[in-house]
Amino acid sequence: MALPLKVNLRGLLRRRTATLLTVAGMSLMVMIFAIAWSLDAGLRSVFAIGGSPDILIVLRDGASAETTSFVPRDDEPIITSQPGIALDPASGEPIASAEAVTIINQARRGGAGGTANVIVRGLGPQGFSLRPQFRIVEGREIHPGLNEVVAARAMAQRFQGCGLGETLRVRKTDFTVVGLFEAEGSPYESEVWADKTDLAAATGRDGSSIVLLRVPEEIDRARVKAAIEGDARLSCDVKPQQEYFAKQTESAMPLAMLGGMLTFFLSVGACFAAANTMHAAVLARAKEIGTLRALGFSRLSVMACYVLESVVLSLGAGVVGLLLAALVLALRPGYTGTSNWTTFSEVAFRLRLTADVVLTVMVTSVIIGVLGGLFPAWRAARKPIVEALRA
Amino acid sequence: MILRHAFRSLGRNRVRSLVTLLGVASLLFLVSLLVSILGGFEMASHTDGSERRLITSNEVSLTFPMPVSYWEKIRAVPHVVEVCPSSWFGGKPNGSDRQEDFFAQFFTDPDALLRVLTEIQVPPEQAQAWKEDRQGALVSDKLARRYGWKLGDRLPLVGDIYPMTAELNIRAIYAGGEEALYFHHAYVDEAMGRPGIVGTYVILLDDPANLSSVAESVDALFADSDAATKTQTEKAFQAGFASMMGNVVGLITQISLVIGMTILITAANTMAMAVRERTTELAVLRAIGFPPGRVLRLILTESVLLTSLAAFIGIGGFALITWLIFGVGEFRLPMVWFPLMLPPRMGLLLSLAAIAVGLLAGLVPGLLAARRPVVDGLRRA
Repeated sequence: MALPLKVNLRGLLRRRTATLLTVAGMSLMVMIFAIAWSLDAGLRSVFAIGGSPDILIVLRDGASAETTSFVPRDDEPIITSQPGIALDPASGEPIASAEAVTIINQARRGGAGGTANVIVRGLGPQGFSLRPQFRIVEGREIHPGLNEVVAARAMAQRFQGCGLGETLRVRKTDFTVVGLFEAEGSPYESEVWADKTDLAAATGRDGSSIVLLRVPEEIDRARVKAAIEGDARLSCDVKPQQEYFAKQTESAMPLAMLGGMLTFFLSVGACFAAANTMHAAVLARAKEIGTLRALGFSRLSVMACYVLESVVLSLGAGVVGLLLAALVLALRPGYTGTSNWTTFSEVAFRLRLTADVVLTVMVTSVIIGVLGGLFPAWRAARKPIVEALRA
Repeated sequence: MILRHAFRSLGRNRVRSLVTLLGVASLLFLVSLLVSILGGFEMASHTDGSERRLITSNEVSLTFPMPVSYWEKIRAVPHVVEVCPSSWFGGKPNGSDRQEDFFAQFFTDPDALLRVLTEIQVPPEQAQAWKEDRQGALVSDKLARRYGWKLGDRLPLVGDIYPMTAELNIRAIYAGGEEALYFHHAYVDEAMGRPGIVGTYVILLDDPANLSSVAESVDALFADSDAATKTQTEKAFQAGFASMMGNVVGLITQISLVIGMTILITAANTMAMAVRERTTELAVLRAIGFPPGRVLRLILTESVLLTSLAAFIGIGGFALITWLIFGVGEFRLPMVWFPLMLPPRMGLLLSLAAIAVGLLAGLVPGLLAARRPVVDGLRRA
């Protein structure tokens, strides 16, 4: 099938104002849903990199989050003495971390105002070594017994009292922020970490919220899980850490819904915008279409050409829209936050214009172009040759 | 006269007018949807009767309780009519941990609750049955309809925060107020081994004028104790919950503004095309004595007509659809705990914005057309 494509592409350039206005309008729409999908992708990636495959998390039976879980102090030795847990080569102790998680209500920084729930995690040296992604980026690590904390860099930006050198109050005790950390974008970047004993003294709470265990062998993991869950003295659930975090991606559901909703309606709007321009193009070029048909191009060729012209238009808008979205992300590089409905605290994340997002946006753009161009192209192809030439 | 002319002009290129109309209407539909989400947030933080209520919680965060002994102490504060202990249970109905099955559950004191929640209506015999059954539950009529609960039904709630399963009997169904389930504080307290702790206290006052002074006196009572308190109006307390969604409000406002801009561009594009097509015709109007202002008015009217019609279809259509869905059936979106309704005030505001966008969109093409020298326009034929 011969396609007189050049005619169409020149046509786009000839009607410059209309083409530009259409691309401008459509690219704004593309930008919005590209940003919405970046929000969704950013939040999802937080939970995707949260866990390590060889780590098990022990929670109280029925508790779906660390923040609602409780493991009594007397249960800790029973849990950590299971065979199969990796041993520290230096001390011979099992690599296990019993951690206490507390939520404090903290004022946000900046204009938005209000308060949100922040997770303060009390942990010991084992806890730090169980998170290889943990890295101090400013200041230093905490010294136990001095009421010191390290805060995630994202938290320092988003909450009062979490910046380096500031103090964070937990009940009647003031903790000093001595360092800021990063953790490769994992959910830990929404937390503040303290020494376990210091935090327990401040909250007046004995025992732990969870116990993390490193179990290198897969067979051992199944055995440890069965042993702990089956022990009549305990009432605990054991889950792989990755599964625990995967469940929390449900927090991304409102964002995914927002993304889907925006994409649908904006695509409809963009379809109409494309159709409008293509319709005008077909009207303005009636003679040209007649000539092409008279020269022997088939109806199908003419139709295909106008649909392709529309796709070029919408792909242009897709590219410009993505560039605009990338620009917006570059201009506002900070963290944003949303509620983690599982832990009832706020999770900080960055927007991510991932390859998936780019692909989704481009595919959507092509669909917009095809749907928007179909009707005008059909009208162009249907017109009798004589009538078209006379116009 | 101008309006009729504008209608005719729109009818001239029907496809273009229709395509623009539907395009703008779909965008306005989307903006209505976004605004109604915002409206829902506002509604969620306001219920009837809440203007006389304060909520006291532990200063640290909601996960820290207060002793049950605060109950009597708060009740003794002047201007306090009633105090109700109310604690979040957070159980899974029948053990289901699907997000859709998430609803508010509180354990509370039945007598105090019925006095404090002035906006709910419970049939007296049901209220009595609820008070007498230690494992009885009072549920919202909306919840009862959603799950098909009837009086006497059993409902196990598997505790997420509390290591227990609350075996409840539905004893009473209330109308009005927010969607929630209430059961006995005494039941949980006993099952947990009498820790004597309470999550929040809901305080009803004699007069809204005393809100801030009472809040201060309550917090002063416990300032030096182990569990210091934070007392705020119910509205502020719930707004705090809504703010947990992060800066959704800011995000939606920004998105709506950008969509407004795309509508402007789309409408302006159509008007520019319409004016270009009619260059000669407009020049003829000028030649037979129409002043430039009148030509401008003509084009502005056409543009405003276009966006007003789109507003009618988009915003009106949204209002109609939500009314059909939420007014008649019990439809719920997951994670959205309020019905999506466009507040009339916001609908009006959006329509006005659409008209303003119409004016702006017609301005540049209109001015160009009105200013074009008559001879130049006639020659372009």
